[in-house]
Formats: sequence, C-alpha cells, structure tokens
Amino acid sequence: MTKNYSNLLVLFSLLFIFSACEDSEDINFKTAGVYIFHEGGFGSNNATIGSYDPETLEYNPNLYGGQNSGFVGDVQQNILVDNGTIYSVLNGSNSIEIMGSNLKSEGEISFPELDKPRDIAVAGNLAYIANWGPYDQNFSLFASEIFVVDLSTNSLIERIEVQEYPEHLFIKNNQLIVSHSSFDGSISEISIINLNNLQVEQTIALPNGPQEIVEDENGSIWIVCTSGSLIQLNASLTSIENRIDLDGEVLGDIDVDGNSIYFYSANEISFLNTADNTVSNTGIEVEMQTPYAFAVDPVSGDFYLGDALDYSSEGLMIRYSNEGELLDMFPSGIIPTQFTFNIERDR
Amino acid sequence: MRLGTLFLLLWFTNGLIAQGHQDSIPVLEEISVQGSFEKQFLPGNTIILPKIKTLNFYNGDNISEILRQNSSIYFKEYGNGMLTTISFRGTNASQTAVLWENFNINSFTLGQTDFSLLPSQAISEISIIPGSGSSMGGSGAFGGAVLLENPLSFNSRNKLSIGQQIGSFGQLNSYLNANGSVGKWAYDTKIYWGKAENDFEILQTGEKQENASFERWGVNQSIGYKINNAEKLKLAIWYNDNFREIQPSIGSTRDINKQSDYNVRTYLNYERIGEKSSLNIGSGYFMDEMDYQLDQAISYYKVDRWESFTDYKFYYSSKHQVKLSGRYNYINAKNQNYDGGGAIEERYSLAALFEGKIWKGMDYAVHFRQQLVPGVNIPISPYIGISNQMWGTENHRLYLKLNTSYNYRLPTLNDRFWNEDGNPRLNSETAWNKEFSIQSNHKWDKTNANFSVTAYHNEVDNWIQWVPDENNQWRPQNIKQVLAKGIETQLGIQLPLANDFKFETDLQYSFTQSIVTASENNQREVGNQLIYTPLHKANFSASISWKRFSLDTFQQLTGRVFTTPSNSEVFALQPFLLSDLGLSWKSSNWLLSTKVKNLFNTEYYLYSGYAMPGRNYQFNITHTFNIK
Repeated sequence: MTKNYSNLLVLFSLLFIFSACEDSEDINFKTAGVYIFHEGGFGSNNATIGSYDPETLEYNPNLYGGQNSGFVGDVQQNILVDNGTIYSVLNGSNSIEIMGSNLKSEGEISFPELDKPRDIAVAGNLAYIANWGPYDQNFSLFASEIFVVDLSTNSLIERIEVQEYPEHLFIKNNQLIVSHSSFDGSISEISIINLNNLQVEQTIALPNGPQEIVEDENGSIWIVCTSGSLIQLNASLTSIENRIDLDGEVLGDIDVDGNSIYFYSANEISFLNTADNTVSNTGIEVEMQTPYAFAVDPVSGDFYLGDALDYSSEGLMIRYSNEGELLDMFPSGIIPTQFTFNIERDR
Repeated sequence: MRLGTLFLLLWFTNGLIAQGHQDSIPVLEEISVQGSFEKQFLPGNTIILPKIKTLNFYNGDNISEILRQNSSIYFKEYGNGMLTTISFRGTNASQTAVLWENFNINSFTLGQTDFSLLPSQAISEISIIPGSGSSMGGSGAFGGAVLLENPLSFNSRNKLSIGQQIGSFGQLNSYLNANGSVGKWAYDTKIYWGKAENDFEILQTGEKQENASFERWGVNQSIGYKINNAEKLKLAIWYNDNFREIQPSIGSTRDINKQSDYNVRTYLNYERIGEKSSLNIGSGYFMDEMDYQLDQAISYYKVDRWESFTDYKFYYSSKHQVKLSGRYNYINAKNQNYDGGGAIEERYSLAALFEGKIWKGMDYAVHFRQQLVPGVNIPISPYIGISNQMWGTENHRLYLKLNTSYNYRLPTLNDRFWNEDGNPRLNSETAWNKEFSIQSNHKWDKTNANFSVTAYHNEVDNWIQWVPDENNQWRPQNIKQVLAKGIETQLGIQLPLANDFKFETDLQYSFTQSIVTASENNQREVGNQLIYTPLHKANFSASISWKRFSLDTFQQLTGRVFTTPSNSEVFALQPFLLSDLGLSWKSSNWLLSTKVKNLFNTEYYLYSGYAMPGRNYQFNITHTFNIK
C-alpha cells in the first residue's frame, strides 16, 4: 500500500515552469480521477483497477479490463507510480505488470526467481523488488531477497539476501529502506541497503508490524507499525529519532499531506503534526468491517478508505471530505488495497 | 423368487417405465442387492440414471462429466482435472451426499467430495437422486445424493474387457474390467490407470498451460459368496491413488505445487433374505489421506473411519414393510491444524423407514432418522413421499410424485476442530425440501418418448460459513439462510427411422434460483443469487446409429455464474456452450471410438481464473473377451 507521488512532483514542477511563461496568476489543481486498486480473490486471478471521478462520482470498476483484456492478475499486492508509469506487484501471479498512466499494459517483469513479490521501488533505470521467496515446511519464509532489475530489459541483474518477510520499500538518498514484518510478530524491523554497493548497512528493530514507509515534507522518514506506533528515523537512517505510540492498533497504510501524517486507528482518522509531533483526531469516525486501504487526496484533502469486508465480496470504497462529510460509498472491487490520484491543472 | 430380487425387478420395471432416463434396460438377472441403497424407499423422487450413451462417451473421464451432462448439476473446477466440487440444486459442495453403496464417502475434514478423484472407470452404476433427503442419504443430502454402486451378479457369464484411450495434451488411459461368476462366487474387478501432461493451450493468452499434469491409478474389487439361497457375503475393496500438480491460475508462474491423494474404501457385507424379512449387516473401513506441497511446505491430513450398520426389514402386511436401521461411525482424524494434531468423533444414527402401496399405482414412504453426535444439535430428519400413477394405458402413462423432507448437515471436522478457529459449538445446518414432479411416458408404434418436470422449494437454515470475526480470525459460524427453488425439465425421444437406423435425443433444462435470504455477516448478499450457481442450464444430446456405427453429440449450455456474493457483473463467468462430438463402431468384441471435445474451441471457465482446454481429441479402443 505504498504511495509515491514523484510523478505528481514532476507534474507540479512542469506546470510550475509552464506557468512561469504565462501571464495568468492563479494556478489551481484538481483531482481529475482516482484509481482504485484491488487485490482480487486469492487464486482467482481477478485483480482490478477501477477509475473514479470525484466530481461526477462516476465509477468504472474495471478500467484495466477495458484498456487491455481480462484482469490485472492474481493478488495485486502493491502499486508504485513512477514518472507516469504504474507498476503493479502481483503476489499471486509472481510478476510485475507495467502500465502507462492510462492503464494500458506496457510490459511485464517476470522471471523464474520471482516468487511472491511484495513491493517495488524504482530509481532511474533500476527497480528493486521485495521477494518473499519459497516457504519452508511450516509455511514460513527462509530465503527472502531484494531483486535488482534492469528496467530496459526487465531482467534480474543482482540479488540481495535480506531478513525474511520484506514488506514495503522506499528509496531515500540512494538508500533502500525495507520494512520486515512477519505475521506472528517475531520479525519486526527495517533494513537499510546502500544502493551503491548493495550491502545491508543497518537493521533496526521496531515495534510489531512495521508496514508502510513515507517521507514527510521535511524529508524525514516515518514508518507505521500496526501494533500502534509511528517511528521517525534520523536523517542518516541509522537509528530511531522519534517513537510516537498511539492508543491502539493502526492500519498499516498512512499518508502524508502537508505537515500531517494521516492514519486510521480505532475507527477514527487521526493525524500526526510533524512540526511538533503531536497527535490529534480529525473527529471523523469511520466504521469498517475490515479496514484495508487509506489515502488522502493531495488536492482536496478528501479521505479515501477501503473496506475489504469478508475478502470475497466486493469491498467498499468510502470517501469523506476533510470536514467529515460522507461524500460517497460503494462496492468498488474485491479487496480495495490502494488509491492513486491523477492531478490536473484546473483553470 | 426371493423378495430382494422381486423388489429390484419391480424397481427396474418401474424405473424403466417411470424414469425414461435410461435407454437400455439393465439385464434382469439375479442381482445381489447387498449393501445397496434401496431406491424403492424413495417413491416421491425422480431418480436419474445416466444414459448408457453418456456413460460410454465419458468412460475415460471423471464421473462429474457424466453427472453434469445428465442433470442440473454444476461443477466448479479449479482447472482441468483439478479439484472439482459439486453444486446441486442451488446448494454448496458440502450439501450433496456422495454414497458408495451404503456409505457416505464425502471427505470428513472438508465435508465435500473432490470429483476429480472419482474416475468413472471405478464404478459400474451411477444414480443421481435429486433432493433425496437426509433420512436416506444421511448428513448433508440437501441438494441431493450421488449414488455409486458396484453390484455383483451370481449367474452372469465371465467377461474381460481391456481398453486403451489416447488423447490430446498427453492423455493416456488404460483400464481392465473383469466380471462374472463361478459356482457360488461372483466377482467384479476394475483396474484403471491414467495420466495427462495437461499442457493444453490457454485460449485467453495463447500460452501453454504449465504445471498441471496428473496421474492416477486404482483398483475396485468386489467378491461375493453365496452361502445358500438366503444368505450372501460381499467383500469390496477400492483403492484410489491420485497425484497432480496444482494448475496455477492464468498468468501465474508458480510451479512447485503438488498434491497426492490416497483413498482406501472397503467393507464386508452379510445379507440374509427370508420370506417376510431380511437382514443386512455391513461394516467398512475407510481411509482418506491427502498430502499437499507448496515449495517445501507440507499440508497433510489422514482420516481413518470405521462405519457399521444393521438394517432389518420386514413386511408387517402384504403391502407394507418397515426397515429399521442402526449405524455407527468412528472417525479418527490426524491433521496438524487441529488442536492436539487430531480429532476423534463418534456418530450414531437410528432410522425407521416405512414403505408400501396404498392402492394399485399408489406408493408411499415415510422415514424418520435421528443422528446423534456428542456436542452437536441435530434435528430429527423425516421424509414423506408418494408416487401415484394418475393415468395409464398400455402405451401412455402419467405419474405424479410428491415428497417433502427435513434434512440436516453436520459441521465438518474442520469446522469443529481447526486450531482455535474451529467452533465445536456449531449447530448442524438444516433444510426443508418440498418437491413435486410429473412424469409421462409414451409409445407410438416404435417411438418412445418421455417427459418430466419437477419443481422444488428448499429452505436452508443455519448455513455454516467461515468468516473473519472481530479479531480478523476466520471462524465457522451458523450465519446464513438460503432459499433454493427451481424447475427441472427433461424430454427424451427414441425414434427408429428405418431398419438399422435409429435416432434418439434427450433435452434437459433447469432453472435454479438460490437466494440468500438472511446473513449475519454480509447484508449486501441478501437477495442475491448464490455464487457459482447458474440460473439457467441446459443439456442436449443426440445420437444417430446405423448398424454398428453411432454418431453422438453432447451439448451443454451453462448460464452466467456470479463469483462474488454481491453478484458483480465484473467478476461473473460468462455463459458458454460446450459441444462434444463422437463417432464409434461397436461389435460384440470390439469398441472403437473417436471424440472431439469442445468442438467449437470455446473459451470457458468453471472457476474464476483457471483455464480449461479448447478443442481436443480422444481415441479409444476396447476389446472384450467372453469366457465360458
């Protein structure tokens, strides 16, 4: 459930440059569309990507199927948007689907070593893939790796052995941050890999359930631990700078908006003010059967939530305004897992 | 003539006239009834005997192929030759009882049968009993029961058949069948072996299916001994060994994923038939073992089961009889996922079944069964059924059949004992089924026609489903109510066109509406059709035979099925028409046949995400030796 707004930053900066040549003073942006990514049923090969228009509230539940044919694959675990390219990590299909921003398929990363991939990070022409690897006798992992892939050929060029259960990836200062989280909590840590020499330089123990890794507006790295903590790393990524303990468990999907890190905990949307590290409630309570996805629209500030229900029914997309008004709710696909926002200039 | 034979004769005669689903008459020789399920106790049901043509055509396949071609049954198949589970009359896979002779052979851990483990070459006779009721079929006969039998005959000739089949994507099938009698002994031997590379083309992607091969073999041996004219013994042993790679979903490259299944089914039966009474005692040992491997991870279970029964039957007047039945089942399961690595369960049941004639043409049956399992709440299971010949001349007959039954299904061992998730306090599921049918049979000159229509209404309550609880732990709960209702129609015509030239056809259509009427878990599925339950299904078959040649075609039209409880169109499997075509030549000793399956190369799915083969071919040769 990683989000990456680097494409937005590029877009913003381009627009900014563009606008400098124009006379107009008022530049506004709007969210032209929201992609809703769904895992699909386990083993059912029916992961979907829906397209939602936040203005008209229209929803196309299977835009990917319309642009291509069939479904994205089996168990769409994670999405990365990088420079207008969308990478979909298919945990069940053992492949990465590569799409343009219109969801037209542009290629696939697939090689025999790819086994239960979890997440992808991209820097330049290289991709880094968190690979669970095979199960041992007791359905535990024993050979997890980070794969380095050349994106010009989509082939495996390097392998890095890491702690088991690599979950989320994030690149900062040419270092790859990997969260590791086993179901039973026995593995709860992050690894820091130097991308110059592909060596694991640091491992840092964390509270149970480290999941998504984000960067705040000051360039600080934060990791959410589902047992109920937000962890800030120091600037050199060598130790924990701050540990914010929450009142209860928290969804492993968090989002940055301005100087706030938003999260969903105890049926409520709350946020951490990164200026003073205080936690506040938005006062927006959202009852969900199986909380699964969470995001903030970077333009409107609307909250998007995904409820996976019983994992076999179509899950619910729930949208609240940042004032707490329920704007929309509908079944969007099987296990909604992630949202991405397509930002356009609004004149 | 002894009573058992008489009943069978009556039954077959009745079946011949009333069913019309069979196109050749079983030879009315002295057949042993030992251990067999007594269908005369179900006068209110329309029992379907698959047509001989269908049995021959799908001889090298699993019995699921035969069942779906002859009834409203839908099968979920997780790929070609992979896990195959039944959906009968809008119920789920655990809600159909699969019986071998007198014993339920559904898996006791999962509660359902994987039909890919039941090759038709292992079985002599197949019957489909829609909505039979638990009073007869035991736990879980909601949609109905599938009955598999291997009867013996004490005065048949000795016969040996050997067959070989070869087909597309590396299909090979060999089988041997020997049966007959010698003095006081009777025997039936079936040995089968088959394998397939199963690397068919995936029509959606154009790629070859990988990692889907399978291989199996088995022996089904029955031996009978006639102690005297009244007493008989029967010993039956069926061993089945199946290995398969698990076919991955389309687009997946997962490879090291395998499963081996081993089944041992054996019983000894003693039968004594007197003037007015009969006694049938049987005892069996059953073993199901499954070994699943994903990478290096292993999932394993083994269930050992001893089941014994005693049936005592007597005529208390010239037209009425009662059968008193007692049954005991000891189950010992080893499963690493159960608390303590295993579970033991004992089940008892008692039943009284009354059957007879009220007047000529009017048959009735009334049953009561009570099963007892410590810790599970099980209701008494009654059945009332009648069959009445409304109208009859020599060439035209019309029957009306009615039945109603209250049925139960026990929670499975997984439901009760799965780690801390299993829930030993589950109640049994219940179902109240009502149905009626009209059957008519006609004969004009040499043309035979039969028609039947059945309507049913089945309310299932306390439906068990595994759902995540507030701690996101998956647990079984009695949470759902489902109302299944539908109509099944059938029309068969046999028409001799000229000398040596014969035409016959069979058409079936079923409408199955199975609606969730209440759910504690998911309000959004209330009012929706149950998943993997086609609203419409139709089967059509036609055969033209000329002298020793026969040209046969089988068509199945399966309506759209939903795969999500919300009945989303996005995830629905589209309707499809499957056509098979075959040409065969038969003499007294040889059978040669060639078949094209999926003639129109239709892309279709029986389970979301799993490819099924396009057009493929089979050749078959069988030689029969008649031994004096």
